[in-house]
Amino acid sequence: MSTSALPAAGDLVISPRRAPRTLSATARFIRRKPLGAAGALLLLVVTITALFAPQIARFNRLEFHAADAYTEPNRTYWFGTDQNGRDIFSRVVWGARISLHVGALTVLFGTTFGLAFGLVSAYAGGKLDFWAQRVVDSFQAFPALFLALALTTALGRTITNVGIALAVVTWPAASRVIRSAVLSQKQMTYVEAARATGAGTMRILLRHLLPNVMSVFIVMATAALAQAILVEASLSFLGVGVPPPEPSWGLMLLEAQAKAVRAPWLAVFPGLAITVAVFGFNLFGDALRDFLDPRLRGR
Amino acid sequence: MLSSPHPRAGPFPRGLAALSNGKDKERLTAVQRYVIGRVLLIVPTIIGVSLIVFVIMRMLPGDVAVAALGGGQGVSQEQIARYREQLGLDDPLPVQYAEWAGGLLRLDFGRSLLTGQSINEDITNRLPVTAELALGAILLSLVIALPTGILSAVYQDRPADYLIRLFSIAGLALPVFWIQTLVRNLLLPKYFDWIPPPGYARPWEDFLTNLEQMWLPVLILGYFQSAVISRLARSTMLDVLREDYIRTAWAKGLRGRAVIIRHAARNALLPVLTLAAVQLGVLLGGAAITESVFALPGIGRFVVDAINNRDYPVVQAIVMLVAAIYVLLNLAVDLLYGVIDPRVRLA
Repeated sequence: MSTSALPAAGDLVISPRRAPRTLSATARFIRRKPLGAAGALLLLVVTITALFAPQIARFNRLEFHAADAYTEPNRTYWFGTDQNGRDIFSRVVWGARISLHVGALTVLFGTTFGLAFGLVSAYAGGKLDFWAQRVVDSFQAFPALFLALALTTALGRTITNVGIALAVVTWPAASRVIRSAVLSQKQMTYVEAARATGAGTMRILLRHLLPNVMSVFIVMATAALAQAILVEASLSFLGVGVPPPEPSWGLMLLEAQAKAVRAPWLAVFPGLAITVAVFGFNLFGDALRDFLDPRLRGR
Repeated sequence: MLSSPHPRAGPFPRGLAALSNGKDKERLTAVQRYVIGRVLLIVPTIIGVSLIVFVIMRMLPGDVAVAALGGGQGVSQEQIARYREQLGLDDPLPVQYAEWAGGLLRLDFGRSLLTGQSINEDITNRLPVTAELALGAILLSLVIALPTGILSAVYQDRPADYLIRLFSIAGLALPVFWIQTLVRNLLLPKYFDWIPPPGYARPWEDFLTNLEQMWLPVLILGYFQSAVISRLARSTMLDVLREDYIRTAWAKGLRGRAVIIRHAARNALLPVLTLAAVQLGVLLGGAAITESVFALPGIGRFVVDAINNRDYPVVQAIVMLVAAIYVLLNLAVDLLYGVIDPRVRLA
């Protein structure tokens, strides 16, 4: 907490009675935003699937069962098999891990860097802010798909590099949103009060401004995760994302293109998985935004 | 000086009279300053994009000279070295950048390292494909999104609203390439025994074939775009419908249609049009997937192939072109905002 005599509003965000408040806030969220809660449930399913992929998958995701090629969904192969007899269910389950891995890297590097960049740019103002925003402008004007494509190709096609490439694509928009949130916060009296009590720049940034833009950050991180899952799938669908034979959902759809008539399940299940994950994040993110922003309640 | 008791009683209407005093001259200058400042902001942005694309393309592993000489098999090291020199790939990076940027200023995008063909020519052939796709999709999305967004706001929290929201949330969550794959590679060949003819016929040369090739990608892409736009239309309409002047319009007995269309929608749709313009720029750079699924020879697919082949000049040219269109569209929207909405102009 602040050592200053005046209590600053920013400090009030972090309360010592955090656990009970979190529980009651969760209950309130479920009551007020049932759709958001449904989204959270979908996310939970996707996350558990990703974490426990080795336990949930029924077969090795890469193992060929040549005799069972193009098997329709049945009791053994719940989602059917592909041209090499690989179990689609197991591949879809492992695909969740790839998607969340890429999504987590995107948020960890991209959104967090955007947060730091936006925070400093807005607080510093003046020339630094002006030129920082020109850098953001340049990245935003760069066609996102091409940037992700070029970076993945430059860094090498691995799951981690796809995540880093998507982080580079994500940070400018994240920094813009944070910047505008900080711009309005820094005019507030509590910042002035903190400065008057002798708080330094770092203290004001980290202890006062940061907690007050955290809700914006959380909502943005949720959206960035959904976006990362989609873009990763798009890159793999274009044949430049996660390399085969790893079962990225986008790559599975790419492979299904020519065989969709013969084996429709190849095209159906990976797409369904992407939809469930993105739908979950969107529902949850929307509800979270409305829940955290009093002006949007009831919309 | 004595001031008139009736400020409006001069020989000129108030607005015209105001033009003659110094205050308005200052305001005019402020507007001009804004316009000039806004236009000048383009310069660092475009330079920034050019630096990013130039640096990333130099980071790509592999050698375009080797690729251009058929993968390097049966070619001596000297031949590769000579070819690299011919292409200017051995020049220092600042020299390469300066030469390329100089060409850009003359609107000369150079030649493909792989085919030796003029990139300007490639762009002339391929841009119409992507432009038709993007423009068609945005226009269709507006046709869908404006009425649905307005209806959704007017009937907030009623069945029509829920239905429309479900329709747009589906558009946000469903991956566009999944639906395209299902329709193009499963539904059409399996149940209709038909797929759109591959390639691209220019509409002014063969309109019917063009229609056959384009209606489906435009329809699918248009629906997905409409999801984003409809949500914004709904939310801005909701804001406007709560304004005092709308309550006044209802109170003075205007009919529903007049209030909603003339008073509310006209004010609410400005951000929607902005988004549509920005989305148009985004689509020009993001249509690669649609072009892939429907085998359309647009600029998106062209860039994907060029990145894979390390064909720097092609990637750099298309990125600069798309970025310039994006930046100009944003500029046009910002400036038009002032023209369309007097509140922005006077702010």
